[in-house]
Amino acid sequence: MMSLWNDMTGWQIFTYLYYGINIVTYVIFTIVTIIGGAFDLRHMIRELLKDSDEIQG
Amino acid sequence: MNTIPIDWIIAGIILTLIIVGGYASKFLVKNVADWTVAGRNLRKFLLISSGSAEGIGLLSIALSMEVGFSSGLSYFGIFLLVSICSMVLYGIAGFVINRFRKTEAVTVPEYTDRRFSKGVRILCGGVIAFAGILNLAIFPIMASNFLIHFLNAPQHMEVLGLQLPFVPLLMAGLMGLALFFAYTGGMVSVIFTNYIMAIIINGVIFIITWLAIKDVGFEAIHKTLTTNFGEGGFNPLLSDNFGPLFIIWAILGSILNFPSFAPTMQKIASTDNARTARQMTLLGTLFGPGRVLAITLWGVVALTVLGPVASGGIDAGLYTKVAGAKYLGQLIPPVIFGFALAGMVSAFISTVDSYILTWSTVLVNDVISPFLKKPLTAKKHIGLLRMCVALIAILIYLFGIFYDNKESLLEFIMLTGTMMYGAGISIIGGLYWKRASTAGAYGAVIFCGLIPVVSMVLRRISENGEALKAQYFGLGAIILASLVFVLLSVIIPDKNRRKESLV
Repeated sequence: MMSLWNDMTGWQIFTYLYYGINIVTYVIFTIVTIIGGAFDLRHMIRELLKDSDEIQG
Repeated sequence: MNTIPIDWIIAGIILTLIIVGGYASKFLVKNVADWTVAGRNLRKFLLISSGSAEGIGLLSIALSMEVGFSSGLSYFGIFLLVSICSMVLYGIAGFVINRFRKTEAVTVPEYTDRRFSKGVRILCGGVIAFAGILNLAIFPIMASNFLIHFLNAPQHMEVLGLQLPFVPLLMAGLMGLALFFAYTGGMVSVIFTNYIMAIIINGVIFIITWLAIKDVGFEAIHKTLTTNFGEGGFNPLLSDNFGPLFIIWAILGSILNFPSFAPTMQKIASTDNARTARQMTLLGTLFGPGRVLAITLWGVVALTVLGPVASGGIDAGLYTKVAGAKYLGQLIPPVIFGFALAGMVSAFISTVDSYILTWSTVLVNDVISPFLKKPLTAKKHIGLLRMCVALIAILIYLFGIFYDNKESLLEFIMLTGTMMYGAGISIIGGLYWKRASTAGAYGAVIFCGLIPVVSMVLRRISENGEALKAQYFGLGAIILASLVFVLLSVIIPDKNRRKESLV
């Protein structure tokens, strides 16, 4: 495996690192936004229900 | 077929839950603002997570896999440059976002009406809607082909004693599901169901990425790239499919895509404030690439396993588009296959329902309504929107039946996207240049709208159509449209500038 990295060009190494870092970041970010999205969904539903209560009121 | 009964049960339960949730959310919709922009109550995490479902259409999965299969990993270089541009311009500087939000416009053509003229609004609306519908039109046919190879399903199925081709039937089923969600509750339903689908789709992407890399190993991936593409498998400047012109086209396109692309601007209009809109853009730009790159990697792995030559009875012209689906069908084990199938169908629904809704909004608000003497009542407005949704669904279904495959998926998407950039040139000009005029806007919209269509027609009627590279026409359209915009604005200025619309 080490010989494989030794034979690579700088751009090839950069490509693999870029892919690796981005994929890991994507996983972490997605988990965070989905958790945050749950709270925002609750906010949206509450606001929409509040609007309908105001209209009916 | 690659499935076992439990896969269908899992997929059925997940899709049923999503349908029930989508239907239930319609009771939250009380007026037109709720239906089109969710009452402007969307915050950033919900926007990003539901937006991620919209961004992972089944076509974008097929497209990213095709790019990986036919070009290796080099696309990331283009992605990197485009991401940097978007991040700096839109995410940090708030280019277009800040000024557009202050106008309180809901759609791009609505702004163009205020800034230029009703005629520009109608033309923008018409061209954007046409380009958007054409862009969307490839989704059902490619999604169906993808799913058929993913499932290893037969090309024909027996219905009431008749042997019917499976692709049109599958297309009808997928469009029916997408229509259901677009009809049910408008933007509220779309956001809610997209959020649920985001959980499923992203989870499936995590699992498949891990399975794919584990299946072949890093050394085999590297050998495939160097053997099939050389340095062009890593560097877009050296890639046969990309090159410098393609890169410039992609960068200019990314700058213009933001203000031109109605779904994005509609989401901006839906946020509770401009800071949320900028943050959403910045976060999406920073962390969005990983998803596309993961799926591109699947394409490279598919190439490693299946090889570059068409096999398994697949037509050579279709091979690069569906080889990835065929590989995934073999890779994913039972049970996870059911989740993946639900994820794939969800990926289709989440994109198509959003876009159908958006283009129907553009048609009603910016093409039809300007001709009406009296404004529509809320009930008639929603009724007309729903009629347009149905009409668009029928049109794209028919397109799928007759579509003749001459471009790669990426080229098709970029060319149809380029058609909208005239609106982007006009928006940017209108927001930032006092001398931008109605004549300039007309010129930009017409040139950008026509040139990509000419490209697609020439590829089909010309003897050496294959030599007519998409990037020549795409880049040419943007440059010519920009020049025309500036020239006509200087030569034919507006007599009465609409000062109230300038920020």
